[in-house]
Amino acid sequence: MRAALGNAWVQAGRAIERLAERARIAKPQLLGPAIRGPLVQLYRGDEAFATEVNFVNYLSFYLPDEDLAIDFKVTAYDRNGARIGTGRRRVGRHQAAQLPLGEVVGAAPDAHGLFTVEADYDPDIVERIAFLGETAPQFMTLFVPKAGSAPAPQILHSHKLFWKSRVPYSPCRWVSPSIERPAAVAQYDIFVLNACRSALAGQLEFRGVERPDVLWQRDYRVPGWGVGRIEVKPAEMGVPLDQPFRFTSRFDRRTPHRKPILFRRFADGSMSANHS
Amino acid sequence: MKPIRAKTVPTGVFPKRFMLSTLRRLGYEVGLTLPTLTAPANGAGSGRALTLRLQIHRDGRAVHSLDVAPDPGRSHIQVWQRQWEAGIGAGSGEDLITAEYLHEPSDAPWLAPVMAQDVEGQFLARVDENGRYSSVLTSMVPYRAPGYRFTPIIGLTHYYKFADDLENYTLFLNAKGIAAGEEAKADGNMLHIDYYSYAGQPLASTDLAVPVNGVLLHPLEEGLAKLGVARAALAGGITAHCRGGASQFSIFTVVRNRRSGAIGLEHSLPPYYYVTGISHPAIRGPFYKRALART
Repeated sequence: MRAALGNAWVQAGRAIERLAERARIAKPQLLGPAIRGPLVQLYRGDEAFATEVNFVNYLSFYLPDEDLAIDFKVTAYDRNGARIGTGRRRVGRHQAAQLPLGEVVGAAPDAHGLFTVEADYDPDIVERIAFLGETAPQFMTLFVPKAGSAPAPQILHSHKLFWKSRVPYSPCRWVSPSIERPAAVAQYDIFVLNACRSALAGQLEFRGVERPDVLWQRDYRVPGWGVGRIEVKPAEMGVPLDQPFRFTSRFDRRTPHRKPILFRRFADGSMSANHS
Repeated sequence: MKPIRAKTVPTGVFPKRFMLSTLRRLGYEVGLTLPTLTAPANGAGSGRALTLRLQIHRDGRAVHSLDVAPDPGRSHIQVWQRQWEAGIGAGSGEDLITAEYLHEPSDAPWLAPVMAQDVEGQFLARVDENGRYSSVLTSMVPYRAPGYRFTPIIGLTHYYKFADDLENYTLFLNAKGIAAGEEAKADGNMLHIDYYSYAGQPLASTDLAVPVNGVLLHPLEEGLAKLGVARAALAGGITAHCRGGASQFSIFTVVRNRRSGAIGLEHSLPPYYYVTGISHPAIRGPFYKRALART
């Protein structure tokens, strides 16, 4: 019953959001442009990676006859969900920017956390681009390894939303299409993003491809707007390493970002990453 | 997972494919993972897992196909380059690989909604069987029959990283249905690319031919040097604005650490990521008209 009510609340919230978006599409001059966001992504500022955020003035490449700028607003939070800084960057016609996150938000990032990206357009262009309907300030995140180390920069995008509101109990599960080969991996660093105001709890699991049994499980709890880091060495998981594994995640509520980020460390010192 | 060597005439190929390419030049063996799709227990062919057909295209020609009959008890199908090259050996350039589920017409009622919900696959690259690997998750793309009139593509790649120990590549995959008896155009599909500095200054323009049913692994630094762009100009960042092609493309960015050989790999973002309602006819027509106009 509690879960059903929670799911109904989440669905109602999304329906209201869609209505608001349709209203903005219909009346952008009155209600402001229909811009999706804030969008959210992980950052790292730890022993292995620094984070750079990359935006491009997509509007000017899609509408090459227009001379228009985009104002990007970036906000960073620490691992516990406390806001650590906000900054703006104006990107003009055919321009792009790729900057250390700390430089954009004007504060040193935590070891890990989440950051959000929003966009705004000058009032005089809102009418001219209204025919596009809803736009989205997509950006790329580059996890840049320490100079001289073995990894290559890892690139991730995110189109997931950041919610300022709470989300009630509404348990759910994500079965990742990422099939892992732990025999090759010295350590996983798994980052769980909580892009809503409520605390998030759940389990990370490795399951067999052949049988759905849970072979390894770890509980986690992440504060609202925070990020949890779970480290696990396959050699210590007690699972047959010569088998491929499915990665699944359980959540006690439907936060908008439900694809934990997997970083793999290999014996040769290199690392790779993708969302799960 | 039991490979079936004998060619069978498919009763139908669902119109979506997963695309990947070899990365021989970078020293990697590639592979793919896709979910096992099984007919529901209460319908025709209950419990039957759909065979996955891999087509290997080399120099624009389909040189081999491998049908993989999945074990219905396994959640996913994973196939590696060494499996599909067992019958043909390694080529010298990069091959295009497409994967599609074979199905019966009676599968359509359950399969169509599954496909419509987006089936994601994993494009894997590893140095050896138990060595480091990278992966990127991407969706299957629509299969377009011969004669389909493609909309020209618009690509924005702007997330490279320039440093002395790094090199950047743009990986273009081009899959196009060719009618029986039709020859692929010798010069492939042409993509016009304008390069800009992050400050918005035009740096260079070029036209790249991406082979039909083929792959172009384009080395960015080398390509820009040939266009007269000084290495020093790259440090501030580069945006590549690609237009044209008129085919089914998949575009990836690859950043490689020269010393270790490790890579970072990410797919590009087509316009619908930025203009979310682009499939609506009232938006699509005016958008493409303006986006493809030469300025």
